[in-house]
Amino acid sequence: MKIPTYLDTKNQVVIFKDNEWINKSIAVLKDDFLDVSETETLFIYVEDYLKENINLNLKEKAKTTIYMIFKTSVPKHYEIKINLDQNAELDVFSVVRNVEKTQLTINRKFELAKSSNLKIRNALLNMGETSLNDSVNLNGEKAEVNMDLLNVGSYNDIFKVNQDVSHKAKWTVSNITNSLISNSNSKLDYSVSGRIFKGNEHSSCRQTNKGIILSEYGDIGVIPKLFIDEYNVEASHGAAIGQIDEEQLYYLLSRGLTETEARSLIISGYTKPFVANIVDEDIKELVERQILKRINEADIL
Amino acid sequence: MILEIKDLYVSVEDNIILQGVNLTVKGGETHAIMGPNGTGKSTLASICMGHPKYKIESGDILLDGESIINKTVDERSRMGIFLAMQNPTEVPGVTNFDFVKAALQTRMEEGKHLRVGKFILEFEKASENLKMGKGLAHRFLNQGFSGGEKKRNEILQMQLIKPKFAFLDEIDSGLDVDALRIVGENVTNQKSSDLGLVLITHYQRLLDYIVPDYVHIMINGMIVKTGGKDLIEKIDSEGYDWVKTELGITDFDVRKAPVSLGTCPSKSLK
Repeated sequence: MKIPTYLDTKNQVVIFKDNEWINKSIAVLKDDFLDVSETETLFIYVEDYLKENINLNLKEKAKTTIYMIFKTSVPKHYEIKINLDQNAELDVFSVVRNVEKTQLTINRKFELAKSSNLKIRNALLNMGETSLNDSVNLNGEKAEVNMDLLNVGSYNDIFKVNQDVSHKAKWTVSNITNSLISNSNSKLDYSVSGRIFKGNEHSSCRQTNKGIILSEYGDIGVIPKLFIDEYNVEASHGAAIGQIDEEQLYYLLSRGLTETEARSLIISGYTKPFVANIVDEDIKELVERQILKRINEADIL
Repeated sequence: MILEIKDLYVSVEDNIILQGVNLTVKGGETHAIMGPNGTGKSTLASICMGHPKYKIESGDILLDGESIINKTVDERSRMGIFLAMQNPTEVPGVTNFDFVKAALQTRMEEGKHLRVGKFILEFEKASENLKMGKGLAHRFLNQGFSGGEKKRNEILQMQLIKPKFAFLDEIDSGLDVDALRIVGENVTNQKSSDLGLVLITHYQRLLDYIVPDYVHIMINGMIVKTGGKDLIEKIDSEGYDWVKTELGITDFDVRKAPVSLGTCPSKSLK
């Protein structure tokens, strides 16, 4: 089984490939659930895995960082369930590395118990048609989720992303930040929903979406939605999508940057803050390379 | 080193704003341009920088004898023109450090690279001089800056980029007394025979810190009077009405640039 070389040096790796999975970590498989509670940092590599379901569990007070790397050469569909028990903390970073145009659907469902904390960071930098559906249930009081997503589309890529957070307990918090870049004929279609059900007061639900369209036929659509059935809460949403701001361009040009340099710097303003938060240096380098490739292979500069 | 603005007529959206401006600035000189609102002071600075919104109807701008009116904005910058803007633009996600580094790197010969260690020290020193705080390098460009911080950040860029000619467009607006002093001292410290300065301001207070060699009064898109420091005090106490009276200037509507209505159909005569 061939796995990427950057995973060779990692101590904790689980590989789902073709019709098997290999556990090179201390994570425990029990009742179809991979218990990742004992691992501090775990790398999960998924390539053309023939089964659909992957289930992860994080026990009470566990604190884990997971890097999920998806690579697909044939149409695939995955159903992933992740449970966080009380006071558990999970930082899950996902990157899709399709090098061929294909179809990939990832449906993930996160269940958060009381005072658990989830960070989801998604890098969608791949080719083809991608559908990502992240559904988060904040079931226990003071559960919190922070979702940060970077999507760079090029050529005829199609991305359909559905993010849905349900506040089902009091004092729950959700923050969603999406940074979207569309070039060539790529289409980025986002549905972002926050729901606060009745009785779940003191909850906070926020969404920020910013998008930049770099070509005539690029397309970004974002529908930010809030469904609020409680008065004593905080909620905000918004989407700012447009082409490169002419005043920003002029400002950078006025300091001597060429137009190519200025455009590149403005685009980096969308990507760098996301990359800066990646702790693992190998994954950071991988993502940086992929961003650069996606930007350079397209006709934007 | 010499910047010459010759009989410059400039329009924006078919309205003529500058109506024959003449100005010569030599290296080491400091010129102040004062005048009522809407008389074209900022237009003059913007057109020298090459803002695409403005159109030169006639006249020329020469830098060391070479016309720059066909140069792009970035070419003008690399030739030595700098504009400290009235409303500096926010660029989210781009750090001050990366921005200024890119501005310096682009000025270097091909194949040569900026010495980052030296640059960091220079950046920190400039930041300290302008009391910008230690975290400035990693803050996003002008994002979340107060009005005063934005203006000080313009001066910081000027210090690091080291232009030949700098236009400071109302750099004093939005500054409190202490910030004004800091900006004034920093600009004055940068004065040398390698820098020509053009200050655009409404108030004497900036010129208390950055003493000009020449003071120009601009009204209705023209420089109508030039003098020394004595002019500043008179303007500060009496406004501009005395200038208009003295020179017989009346307020007028903005002139429209001539617009082609098309050509008449013609018939050839046999």
